[in-house]
Formats: sequence, structure tokens, C-alpha cells
Amino acid sequence: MSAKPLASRDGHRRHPSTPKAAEDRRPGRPGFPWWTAGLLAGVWLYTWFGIEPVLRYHRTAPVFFWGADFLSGHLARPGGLLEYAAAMLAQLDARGALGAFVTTGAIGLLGLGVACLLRLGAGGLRSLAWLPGLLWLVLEGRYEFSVLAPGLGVVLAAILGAIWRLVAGRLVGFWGLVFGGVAVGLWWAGGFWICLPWVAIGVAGELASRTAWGKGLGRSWLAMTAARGHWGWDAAVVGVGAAVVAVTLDRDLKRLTQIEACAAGGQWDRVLELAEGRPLGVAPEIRLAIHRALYHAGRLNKDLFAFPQRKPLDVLPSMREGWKACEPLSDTLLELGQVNLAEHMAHEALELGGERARVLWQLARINVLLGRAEAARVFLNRMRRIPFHGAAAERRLLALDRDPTLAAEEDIARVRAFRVTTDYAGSGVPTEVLLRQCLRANGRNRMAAEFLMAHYLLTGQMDLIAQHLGIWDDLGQWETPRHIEEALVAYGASQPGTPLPLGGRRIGPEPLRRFAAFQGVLRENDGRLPESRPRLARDFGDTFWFYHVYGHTGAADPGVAPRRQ
Amino acid sequence: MKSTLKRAGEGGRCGFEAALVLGLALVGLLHGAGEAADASVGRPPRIAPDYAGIVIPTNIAPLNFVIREPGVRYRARWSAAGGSEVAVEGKSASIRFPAGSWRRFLGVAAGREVRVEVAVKEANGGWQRFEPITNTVAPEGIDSTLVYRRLRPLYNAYQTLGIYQRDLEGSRERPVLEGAQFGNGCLNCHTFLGHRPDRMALNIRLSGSPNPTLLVATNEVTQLLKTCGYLSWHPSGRLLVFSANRLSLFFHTVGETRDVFDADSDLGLYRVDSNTVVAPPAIARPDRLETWPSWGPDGRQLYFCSAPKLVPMKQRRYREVRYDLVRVSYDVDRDRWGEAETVVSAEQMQLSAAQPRVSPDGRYLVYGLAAYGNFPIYQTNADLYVQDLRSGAHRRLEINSDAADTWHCWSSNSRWLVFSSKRQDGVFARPYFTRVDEEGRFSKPFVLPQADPAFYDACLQTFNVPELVSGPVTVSPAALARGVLKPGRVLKPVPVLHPERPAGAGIQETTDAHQEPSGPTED
Repeated sequence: MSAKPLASRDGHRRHPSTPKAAEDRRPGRPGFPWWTAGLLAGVWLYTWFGIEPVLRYHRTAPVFFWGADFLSGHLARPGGLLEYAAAMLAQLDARGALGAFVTTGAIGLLGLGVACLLRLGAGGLRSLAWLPGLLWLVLEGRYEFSVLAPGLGVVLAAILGAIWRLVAGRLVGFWGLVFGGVAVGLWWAGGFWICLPWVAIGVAGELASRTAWGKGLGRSWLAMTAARGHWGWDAAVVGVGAAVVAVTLDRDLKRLTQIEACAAGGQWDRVLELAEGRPLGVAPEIRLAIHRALYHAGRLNKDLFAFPQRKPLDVLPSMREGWKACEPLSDTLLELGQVNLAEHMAHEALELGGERARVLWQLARINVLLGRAEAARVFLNRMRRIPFHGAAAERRLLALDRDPTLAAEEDIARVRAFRVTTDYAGSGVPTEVLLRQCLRANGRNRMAAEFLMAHYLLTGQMDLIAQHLGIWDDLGQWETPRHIEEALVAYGASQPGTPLPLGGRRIGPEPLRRFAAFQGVLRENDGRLPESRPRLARDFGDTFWFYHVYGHTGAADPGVAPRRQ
Repeated sequence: MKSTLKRAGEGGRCGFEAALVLGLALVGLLHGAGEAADASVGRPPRIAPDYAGIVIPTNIAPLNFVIREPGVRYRARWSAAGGSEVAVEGKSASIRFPAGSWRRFLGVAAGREVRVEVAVKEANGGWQRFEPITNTVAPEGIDSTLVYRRLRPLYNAYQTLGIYQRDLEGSRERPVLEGAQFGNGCLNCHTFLGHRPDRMALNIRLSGSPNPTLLVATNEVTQLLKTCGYLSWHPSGRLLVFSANRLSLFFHTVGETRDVFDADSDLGLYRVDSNTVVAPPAIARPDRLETWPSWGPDGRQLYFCSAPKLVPMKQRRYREVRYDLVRVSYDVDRDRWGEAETVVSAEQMQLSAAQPRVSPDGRYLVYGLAAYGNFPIYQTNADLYVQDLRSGAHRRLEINSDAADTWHCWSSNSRWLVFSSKRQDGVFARPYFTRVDEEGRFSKPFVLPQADPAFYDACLQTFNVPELVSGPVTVSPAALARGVLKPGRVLKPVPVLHPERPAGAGIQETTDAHQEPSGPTED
């Protein structure tokens, strides 16, 4: 590639590598870099509101603790220092704006380093400096893993490489030794992600200055970068970049993460808002979040089948469905009053997910309920060392000093009222046993009652639904939930001639009418299920009947959008 | 201050500096004159860990502690008769003694009573002096290395666990082998031959493959293709007795959450010289469960726990399984077993025995008793008991707590016992040391000291299987990991049918209690 000579102001044509050409390229008095600032502001806003660092924190934030022991553990292995720094910065994601600032700062520094390394200056290719940052944003938008540790490594390598090019730029003699020493140091501090780019920068610089083809390539590159930039070109690059990050943002995963995060924070209305009418899948943590949200909204047995359900998945997921269910399952079991089982799940989450603030808080609560205030202190002391969570841990430690039972703390007192009192020993506790045990301990345990009926619905045990209608009376609820009515109608149809034991309750005309319509569709297709399926999924996909017949709800049937009743 | 004055006087170039220093000194004097007088507090100070009324070895690491008293400045001093002392003063309530001074102090104080004096300066400037704490430095030391398994409280899943060695004379902890070195595998009980750091056995659990046992002799690691549960070396080093258990973890909805059920177990004998395995009827009866083997110090008796097999042997009957503590004589030269003799009867005690360990001098037998089963670490009522082998008298140890006290190990000089105890919080087991005197009295236990005295306050890991050895483990973690992943030497032991053993009555393979959940069981 040959360099195109430039036309100077005096009309002479000079090669771009000549001093005069360089003089020509030199900008006038440098002003405030409005363009760069604007772009970084855009990155910051997109990260804050588009990617939402809080979600990143919920999903992939590495564990971090203040204290010498945590630092020394990282210093003991190559790459540990970079991991430590990345883990520390990742904690800022807990505050969305700060986390976005870290991403923006890193992308800005990366752009600066790349611009210096490639000598982009204010030339026409200056937008190339933003390409690595664009890749960073794309990866952030996938929510799969934390980009910070490898990203920081590359940022540091780029900055140090740029400094190296300015200061030395050679790999022979003394500078060669310095380069090698720095490489070893960087490998120790940052491992692969910082050492490899550093070595690549050094070797590329050496090739560009020592080999004929390298020199030629360098001249060509300078010629390309010498062309003046144009705002239209820059705007086009930014536009394409924005389109790329918008297209590659994993909105489904973002929404699922939002559901998880909102459930962890007890924002049940928001969980349902995020979940309704959208494809969700049947991941255990999402299912559980929806079940809990429905319960808190008083809709568990009314709208359970409006969301994805698939046989034989139960109302309480199993740990075998994935370890991510452990933490929300622990929270659910605690709310039900199953303190020991909640302890089990919380410890699984601790072992598999790491020492995160939510799990430590949960285990502290559990140990208080189990009468082990000293153990609760250990968990809280650990939590105290996590940025942004220290104050909450401190407050609870002070509360423990005042009263080791935390009798006045609402989240503890509520569970204590429902705590199970009988032992069941086994490798796993069947859902029905678990929930009935809760009801034996306290018949007013509304959550256990509603989950038990949901369990019967999901397992298709219509006879048990009919037998346990008294549960609603015990809870003072006179309205029979929609799915229960649907199950009773179906049960009645399966027992012709036998009156249903409704215990004074009555089934309204609407469920009977709809059930007749459901059966009518089946009859129209001579009972052939595949043929009936599209219409039934559309009109009855959120009913017990459809779930009972097809083994899943309409919402769990891809390609069919059920009509909400 | 002295050096500053000297420099100012020599130079004579900066009278201001000298004046400043003098001024500061004057302010200091006036401030001192304004301080409240020292006050005596009529009680000992609150310190953590609890290092009051204890007996310590002559070679233990500094017993650093946190003074749990409000103040702005803290002073702590260990002193012994004869003027030897080690003292620390500072703004922090976290008291850390310099290792060198501490070592010299213990050297002088050996065999004597020592006083721990604590003073706390209040915000008003007055010092509060607390009643001194009295401890004792024993005349003898303890084996210099403690090897333990450190892990979070495990349920079904495990990811981060390892076996570590701790220098008891300092604060350094190093890994012996970590699960992360071989695909987050599990490490089971480690067993040393006669407190020697160069001879050990260790069972490994790998996902999707047999669970081998590693035999270490100096730096050579042999992978033995045999799953072994609890292990005990014969003092000759020629035999390794092991248990084979069929363990399963289960859970309670009230009380202690975790529990373990052993559906079947036997003991077996591995002959190192001939690479053979045998299950002698004396220790592997088909009608009984046998586990927790432990050789006596002379190798002439094997102690173990034995319970009748229930019919049917179902998990729901877990409370009915109680183990006797038995011993059987053995002649290693003639390979002759004697008759089993009951040392502790489960029937009489209405308790279940576990983990017998005889002191190296053959004087005491310490064992554990719990309400049922053979996994005492998960039972809050698990306590340590001792039998004086001279008199035959048994007693519950006075050092027990309300929480589980288990996993004990004797020092090579028979003067110290280390054990795991959950006494601090009921969840995390920590290693505690106690001294046994000539009369068989066990001193108040103290927790393994750490450089950071607040270490245990935020430590989410439990320490179990504490084993005392005479020096650092010689084999490197890398060599042990190679022994798991790419073993240089692999032995498949040859089973030898015992003449009195019915054909087909082989030894059950061990299964680890901590496995993926197997689903609801209501058997």
C-alpha cells in the first residue's frame, strides 16, 4: 500500500512522513475535546440505563472483601492483582451510575491507549480508537460474564504500551531488558490478559521499526491516518456503533436478570410486570420468582397457568434443576417457615455461588432463627467487609448485641411465627410433605396453603384439591380462585354422577361455560390433541385444562401466544 | 525524639525545630499531668479468643487476642516470674505479639505460671487496669505441624475445599492439596503414620471415576485403586486398616439440619508389602457394621466401632443404630486375630461410639459418644470421653461443650490433644488444644491461635480432621495432584479371600456422604 502525497496549503505536494507534512497535520491550539466527551457521556448513559450495572452486579459480579487476607490471597498467584482490582471496581456496579462510570472510564482509557499506539491523532481513522470500546460494550450487553478483569488487563497494556512507544520503543539492549522485566511483572500482576497485549505491542513496534516490510507498513499506515477526519464520517461510525450495541444487547437475558433481581429485592409487582406476556422459559429461578410474585399479588391460584409451566416441574424447584435456584429457594423456604431446609439451600448457594452479601445476610437470619446468634455474627462480620453492604451488616450486629433473638426485627419475627415444629428426616423432602408440615405448625400460613394448592394443580391431583377446599375457609377467603374452579370442574367431569364435595362453595357459570367450550374444541377435532392444540392454546392456554391435557401451558408453547382471560 | 534533639543541637541551624520539639515535650508533660489516675477494674478483661486459665505448649505461636473493652489505647503484657515478659501497646484493641519476643518469652517461662495483664486507656486519659489472667506454660511442646481439612459447611455440593498444614510455631498455613488442583474433587480423611510428615494416606473423590487412595512415602506418591473411608496405619507401616462405608447424607426439618446414615460398613486390611486386601472376619462380620478403625500404639490391638446390622437396614431407622466401641488383639508377625472385646457398650450407655484414639504412650483412650450413628460432627450432643487404660475407668471429659466436640488427635508426646469443636458458634468447627497432665486432667481448651486475632470472627470455614505431625508435610501439593491426575505409580490391590470369610462377602465400596441429592426418600 503506497502513501498518497498530500496537498499542502501552499500547493506543494509532500510525503506525509516528512516534517513539513507532520507540521501540516498538527492541529492548532488544542481545545476541549467535545467530541470525545460527548461520546463518553453517551457510553456512560447507555451503560447506566441500557446495560444497567445493577443487573451486571446481580448476575456476574465477582466476590470482593475489604481486608488484608482477601488481598493476600490474590497476591499469592499470578494474575491475582488484576483480578483483585477488577473485583473491587465491579462492586461499584451496586450503584448503577458508579458502575457505568467505571465502564466509561475504562473504555475512554482504552480508546486513548489505542489512539496513541496507532498514532490516530485527529486523522480520518480516529474513530478506530473506539472499536475495542465498542467490543467491550457488546460483551457487556450479553450479561454472560464479567468483562472487567480481561478488559482492565487490555486497558493497562494499551496505556503502558503507548508510554513504552513514547519512552523507548525498542527491544534491544537495556530497553529490551526493561521490556522483559515489565512483561514478567505484568504477567505476575495481571496474567494472560495484560501480558499478552504488552508483548504483542512490543513485538509489533519492533517489527515496524526494524523490518523493511514493517517500515513500509508503518509509512502506509501514517499516510492513511494523515487524512483529515470529517465529522460526517465520525457520526456515521458512532451511528453504526450505536446500532451494533443496540442490536447485540441481550434483551431476553436482561429481562430475566431483572426478574431475578427484583425478586431478590421483593419487588413483586415489578416481577409480574416484567414477566407478563413475554417468552420466559422455565428456568427454576424465574419460575420461582413468578410463583412468589403471584402469591404476593394474591394471584397464585388464579394466574399460575398464564405463565410458562411444564410437567413435571413443581411449584418449588429442585436444586437438581440448577444451582441458581438455591438462593431464591432458600428465601422461599424461609418465608414458608422451613428454616432448616432454607439453611441447606443457603449453604449450597454459598458453596456454589460464593460468599455474596445476599447469601451471607440470609444465613445470618437463619442462624438467629435457629438460636445461634454467634454463628449469625460470623456471617455478618464477613458481610461487613463487602463494599456497600457493611452498613446493613453493622446495623444487624448492633441489633444482635441488643437482642440475640432479634425479636423486634420484622423479617425474623414473621418467619418465627410460621417455623415448623416437627421433624422430617430424609435425603429430600417431598413438596407436599414440606407444605403440609408448614400448615401443621401454623394453619394460618397462607403461603404454605396457596403453594400446596398450586402443587396439587401442577401435579394434577384434582381429588386432593377437592379434599382441601377447607384451606380457603381457614384463611377466611370466600372466593374460590380461578384455577381451583377449573380443576373442580374437570374433576367433576371425570366423576360423572358423583357430587363434588364443595364444602358450601359453589362454582360459577363462567368456568362451566368455558369448560364446555374447551371440550367442544376437542370434540370438533374428534379428540385429536395435535389438531386441537393451536386453538386451545390460543383460547385456553392459561387454564388448568390445557396444562392438564398437554403437559404444559400455552405460555410454555413457543409460537403460540395465548389470549389472556 | 532523642535523635531529633541531637540533630537540631548539632546543626544549630534551626532553632525553630528545637523550640518546636521542646514545646511539644512541654505540651506532652502538661497533658500527662492532666491525665486521670490509673484505675483498677475488679475483673479480668474480656478478650477474644478466650485465652484465660489455659495451659499452652512451649512452642505455640503467639496467642494474639482482641481486647473487647472500650478505650483509645491498649496495653497487654505476658509475664512470668523471673522478669521474662512480652508486651505490646498501641491504639488498636487487636493485640499482636512479635514472634521473636514471644518465642523467647515461652522459652524462659516453660513450666511456669504466667500472667496476662491488660490495661485500657479511656477517652479521659486514665488507664484502666484489669485483674490479671493466669495461664500456664507447660514444660513441653507440641508437634510443630497441624494438618487439617478446611472447608465451608458442606451439604450436597462442594467446590472449594482442601487439606492444609499449619505451622503451630508460627502463623503460616500452606496447602497440602486443594480440590481445585484436580477438578474440584473431594478430599477425605488424611492419616499419618506415627506423626510422621513423610508417610500418609489420603482418599480422593473424583467425579465420574473411581475414588482412589493416595499413599505417600517421602516424596513418592502411589495411587492405590481402592476406595478407603476411615484409615489407620499399623505402627509397623506394613498394614493399613480401612473402613468401607455406604454413607448417605440426609436432612432434618428441626434440630441439626444435616445427618449421615451408614447403610453398610466393614473393615479391611491393606498389606503394603504384598499389595493385597483382606477382610478378616474378626473386623468384617457380615451381621455387623464396623467402622472408625484405630491401631493401638504397639500395633497389638485394633480399636473400632461396631453395631449390629438392622433388618431391614433403612435410613428411617437411623436413631436405632448405635455403635459399641470394641477392640481386638492382633499378632502382626503371625497374622492372628483375637476375639473382639467390648470396651464401651452402646446398649449400656444408650449412646453411640466413634473415633477411638489411644495416646502414643498407651495410657489413655479417648473416644466420642453421641446419641446415635457414627458421624458425630453433625450432632450437637457429641462429646469426648476418656478411658484410663491402666485403671479401666471411663469418664466424660470435662472439656466438652454444648456443641459437637469430635475429631481428636494425640500429640506424639501424649501430652496434648487437638480436637474439632463447634463450641464458639454451633456451626463452624475450629481446632482446640488441651493438655493432659500425669493425673489425666485435661486443661481448658484454647483455639488454634492466628496472626489476626479476629480471624475466626469472619471465617466461614470449618476445620476438621486435625492431625498433629512432627514437621511440615514433605510431599508437595503439585506432586500430590499429579498423583491424582497423572500418577507415576498405580497399584490395584489383589483381594485375598480369608479362610473364615464366606465367599462373596466382599468389602463394600465407600460412598461419600456429600453427593448430589438423590431425591426424596421415605424408605
